[in-house]
Amino acid sequence: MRGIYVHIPFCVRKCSYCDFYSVAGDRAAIEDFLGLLVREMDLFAGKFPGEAAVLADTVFFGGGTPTVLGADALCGILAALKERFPIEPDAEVTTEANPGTVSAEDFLTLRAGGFNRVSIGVQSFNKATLETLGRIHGVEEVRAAHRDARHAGFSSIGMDLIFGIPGQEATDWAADLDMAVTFLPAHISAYALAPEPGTPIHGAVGRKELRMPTDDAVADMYEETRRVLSRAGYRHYEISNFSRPGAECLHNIKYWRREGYLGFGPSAHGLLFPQDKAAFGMRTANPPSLSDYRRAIEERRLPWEDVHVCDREDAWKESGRTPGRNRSLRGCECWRGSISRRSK
Amino acid sequence: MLEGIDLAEIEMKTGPPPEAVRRAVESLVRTGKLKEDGTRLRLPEKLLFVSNEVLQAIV
Repeated sequence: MRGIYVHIPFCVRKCSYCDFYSVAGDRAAIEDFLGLLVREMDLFAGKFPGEAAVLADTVFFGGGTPTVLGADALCGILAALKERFPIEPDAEVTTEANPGTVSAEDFLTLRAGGFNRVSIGVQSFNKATLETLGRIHGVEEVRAAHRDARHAGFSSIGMDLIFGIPGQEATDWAADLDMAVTFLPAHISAYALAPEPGTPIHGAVGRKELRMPTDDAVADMYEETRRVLSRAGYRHYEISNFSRPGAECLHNIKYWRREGYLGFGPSAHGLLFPQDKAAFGMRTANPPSLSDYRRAIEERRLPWEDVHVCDREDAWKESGRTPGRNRSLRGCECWRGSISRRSK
Repeated sequence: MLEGIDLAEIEMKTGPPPEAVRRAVESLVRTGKLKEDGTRLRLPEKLLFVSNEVLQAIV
């Protein structure tokens, strides 16, 4: 079975560490994007009917900040996917949700619209750390998002955290872990920050306005993560990911097992297995640009800026990766070049 | 994750490993950066945090 990834390229504000493609979007830009996204789905289904007929058991909305679109729009995209591609009735359907961009009503709408898993971008509970990261939310917004998601019926709630942040002490990270555990989320992702070139935080570190923790300090934080979360009953199933037994993110695992997935939206990547064209798989990459994405779709071609037909060596290298990422927020993958996150 | 990957299963799907991959894996096993366990291959627990470095030796 396969997965489907949808990249929502909008944010309220760009975080200082993030190098994923996103822009600030007004209502008109969002409406325009929604139309393009559906046209991309149609283009794909028309050009690859065999691939389009493969049953999917995971769908993941990432970004950017998917919840910036509003719950109705996200449910509309999911409905459009279901009209065009076979999706298991009990498929894992996830959206990333950033505190401060999603209301109690939104969660109810998402749940009723078919989403059953939510990944909350917490990153930290520490005010100073959140400011360094350029996040728009505070701890109260996290509490509200978690409470509202639970009340809406989401039993599979994940929290994303980041460690190894400039100014973050070991005690700060330990406090973040302790706080996260008190929410009893089904899933916790804990990523080590690696400032990517071009991001504000990378620039600030380069100018010595911020100082990264030492490698040893970050390694200690990682070990602390493993200790605290395993004691709290979480299974360390992937280098940066921990879950309650049975609550692993199936979509994430699919990337690491080299199972197929479709990618829709700017900067989304895919892995297809059209047997007549690429027995070892074919990787596709959409451009990280809304204008390039739009141009391709208006010219009625798939917005793939890169297509790589895998050979046996690629298949071995990619199959051989042990699930997980470390020392990176998605930019530096275990098997460099082989997985683009969600791959984004 | 800690279970690693099943080489036999991959071989069944994709055929035998290319020479370059086999050599890289053998070298990593020899230096203790990967562990063989029957047909499974995995990262030692203490190297999880630096897995990028280990696995990039194969790519």
